Formats: sequence, C-alpha cells, structure tokens
Amino acid sequence: MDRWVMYAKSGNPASDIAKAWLKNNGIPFESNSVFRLTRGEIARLADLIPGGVREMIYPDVFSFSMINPQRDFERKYIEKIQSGQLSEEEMRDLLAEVPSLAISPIITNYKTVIVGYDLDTMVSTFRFVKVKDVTIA
Amino acid sequence: MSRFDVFREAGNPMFNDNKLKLGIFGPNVSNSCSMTLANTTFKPDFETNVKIAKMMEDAGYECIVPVARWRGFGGSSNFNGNCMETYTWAAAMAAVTKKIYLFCTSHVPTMHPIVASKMLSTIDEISKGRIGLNTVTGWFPKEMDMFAGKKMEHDKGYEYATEWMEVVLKMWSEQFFDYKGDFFEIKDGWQEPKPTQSPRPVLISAGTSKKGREFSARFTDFNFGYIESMEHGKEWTNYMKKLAWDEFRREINTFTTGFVVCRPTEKEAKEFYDYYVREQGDWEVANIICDMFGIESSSNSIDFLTKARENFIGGWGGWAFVGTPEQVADEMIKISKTGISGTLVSFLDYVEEMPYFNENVLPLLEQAGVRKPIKQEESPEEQENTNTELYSPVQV
Repeated sequence: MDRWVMYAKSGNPASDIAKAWLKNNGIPFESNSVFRLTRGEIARLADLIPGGVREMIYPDVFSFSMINPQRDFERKYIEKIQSGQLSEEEMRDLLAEVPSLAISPIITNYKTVIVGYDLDTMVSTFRFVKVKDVTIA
Repeated sequence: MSRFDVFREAGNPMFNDNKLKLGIFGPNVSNSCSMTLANTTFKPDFETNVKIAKMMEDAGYECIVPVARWRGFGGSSNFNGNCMETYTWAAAMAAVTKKIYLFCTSHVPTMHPIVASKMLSTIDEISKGRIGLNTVTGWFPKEMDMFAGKKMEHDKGYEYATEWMEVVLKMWSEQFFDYKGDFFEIKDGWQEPKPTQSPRPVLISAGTSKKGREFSARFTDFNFGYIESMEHGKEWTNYMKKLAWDEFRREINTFTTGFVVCRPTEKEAKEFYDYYVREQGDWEVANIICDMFGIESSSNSIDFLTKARENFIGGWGGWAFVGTPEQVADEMIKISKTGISGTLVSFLDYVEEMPYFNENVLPLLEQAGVRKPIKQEESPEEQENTNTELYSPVQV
C-alpha cells in the first residue's frame, strides 16, 4: 500500500484545502511541516520532479510574500534562485537550511510528487489508491 | 373522503393543521447541505442524527428527508461523500424516535421495487407508521456510472420510475398479482406485512422537467422543489395542483427547502454567511454542480452565476433564510402565503444553531398563525396525577 505524506505550512490556504481534499476523499496521509524537510528528503523529492528542486521553491518574491507576509530575509534567496545563480545542488542545500522557501503543500508517496494544490491534478493523481488491506489471511 | 382527508384523519404529521410544515434535509450526509470548509461540529453519524431528531421532536417539526448519495461530488470538501444509506438510516431512526415523520430517499435504478416495498413496510412497522418515500431517478452521472449502465436517458428514467412505482403500490395493496411492463415482470407478487399507514406511506419527489412533474402529479403527495422568488413559488404550486387534478384527478401539495443563518442581529447573520459561504465555501464543488445543472451559461449574468453558486454553497440552492429571527420568520410566512405547504431547512451546525432557531423563530411562526404551538406531552407522573384528580371520590 502507498504511504502518502504531505508537507504543509499551517495557515496556508492551499495546505488547508489539500488536507481537506485528502481527508474528505478518503486518502490516508501523514502530515508533516515543511520545516521538517531534511536534505535527504529534499533530494529524494527533487529527483522525482522533472524541473528539479526549483519547482519546489516559490517562483517569485510576490507569491512568497502573499503566503509569508512577515518574512523578509528569504526574498534575496528567491531572487538568486530564479535568476539562475545557483546550481541544483546549491539550491537543495539552501532549501534544507531555509525550508520556508518551499511551496506548500508538497504531497508525495515517493513515487509521485504534487507541488501546490490543483484540483485536476489531485483527481488525476489519486486513482486506484489502495487504502486498506483486507486480504490478510 | 379524499386521499388527503384519509391522511389527516389518520393523524399523519405531513397533513396536520400547521400551514407551514417544517423538516430538515440531509442530516445523513457530510456537510448536510452546506458546500463549505467552515468549522462545524456537525457529523453525519447516527449519534448526531438522533440528537437532532430529538430536538426536532421537542419543537414539533414534521419530517426529516435524507439525501441519497453513493459518492461525493468532489472538491476539497468532497461534498456529501460520507453518507449513511437512507433505508437503513430510516430503520434505525424509526426505532429511537416517536413522532417525527421519516423518509427514505431512493434512487429507483439502484433497487428492485419489491425490495424497496418490503423495506418500507418493515420500517413502517418499526416506526408505527412514520415512514414515507422520496423517489429520485438518478441525475449525478458519476454516481450512476458506479452501477454500470444505470444512468438512463432522462425520459426513459421516468418511464422506468413509473413502472417501479406501480410495482411498489401493488406490493403495498395487492396479493398474488402479475405485472408485466417494459422494465419489470412480476409473477404472483405477494408481500406481508403491508404498510400500516392509511392510506399508505407518504410519497414525495422532486423534478422540474415536464416528465418529472408529470410523475410527481401522477403518484406523489408532495412535489419537492426550489423557488427562485415568492412569485415563482406561487406559480409552481398552482401549476402542480392544476396538473395533478386535470390529468390525474388527484390532489398534490408542494414543499421547498432553504438554509438558515439566524442570529440576534442582521450584522451577525450576514457576517456568518460571508464566513461560511464567501470565505470558506467550496467553490470548486459549487462549480462542478453548476456545470452539471447547466447553470454555467453565457446567457446568464455574472451576478446571477455568483448568486447561484452562493445559494448552492449556502444550502444546496435552497431559499436563503438569513437574518434576525423576525427576518427569517417573515420569509417563512411569505413562503406559506404562496400556497407551498412546507419547507425543509438546513443549518451549517444543527446542534449549535437549531436551538436558537427553535426558541426564537418558531414562536413567531405560531404568532403569525402558520404553525400551532406544540402540545407538550405529559410525563407519566403528571398523567397519574391527572387521572387521580379525575377519579377521586366525590366529597359529600
């Protein structure tokens, strides 16, 4: 059975809605904070995403500020990342140090990764999901 | 004596003296009628349903109509996804309630009429004659697709429902009968027990199409529908009564539904409405449902589309009873004046909100003459005292 994990940030509407979607559609999942993302997990997730770790990071200062209105120092990192100044490995290291840069939610079973909330993506990803084992002898 | 007279004489609550009957809609499904992610203590579980039913019985409501649902509509709330099946729900509720009239809502393509008729008779026995039937043909494609091939074309669905109902009525009224139709063939049909209700369990159905209304006019006691305005409510009621009489020589009533946000001040009511509809509403599922009903048409204004979605989110498209107790009562009195015989109501949080409504709105409806004060039942001790007074020996 797949084990689904969601990395979320409380107070982020997209995280709240994704959590509600999973719960109300009967998909068991483990909920973790984005602030618990380790370097190893970041690497594991980034390897599954076609665009790499950059796809896990806010694309611009404006969208970051909308979700994190009181955070300021991360802005310069976002500008650096989006201007292509950092390599993939450098970005992974940075994200491990500054996990607030991560878009939330990130939902994964470590075979597929969903970054952010989108209804159509949720519906198309969660097909043929086994949630309970009833074949125990 | 007409059919309605028979129901009245039998003491059926759906035909009592209240000009405006009251019930609730969908306590057996998640979110009930509110397509929202707003906080609520409401859960579609048996314990909560019993609590709600007892509040309703104490306040004199007439009925509970469950929603039949086999899957949710999607969206982050997966509106109505968690659903107690209605026949088993009604049987359980019948065993723990005393006065309220219960309904089973049945998707006719999903159940053989002999099974439905037997289950209704069984619940009739358990409830001592407090069960009715709400028939639906099945309009949610993804839901009916689960049953592989059961979503019929609209008119065919009503032809099927007609035969289905004819079989149920025969099972309730005849023995050793044969029936042959396009969809059902019954040989030597027989059933015991028959329902005890006189003349039979109450029948209701929704359906605004021509076929839907004809079906309702032909078979049911109440056509259930949504109103867009008081004028519309009056026109619809008059239309259904005329249709039922002209075509089938029978009486029919109408019943509508609405959602309640009742607070001490208008400001509080509107703020709560804004919170659970505009801020926390599941707009995705509202879009899904509006698409299904074909409301998303370029000929409709943005204002109309927004209002339609808000009404779906607020309470399944029902009438908005939002405001102070006086304002809510005023709207209900207006509905009664259209000729509509009753309304179902829904709340975001029944256990939290219904007591305030019961204490503050129901007395206003009584004052206005659309409902009678509820007669409190005497406790066994009070009954004993009364009997003692009546039969104490006369002092010479």
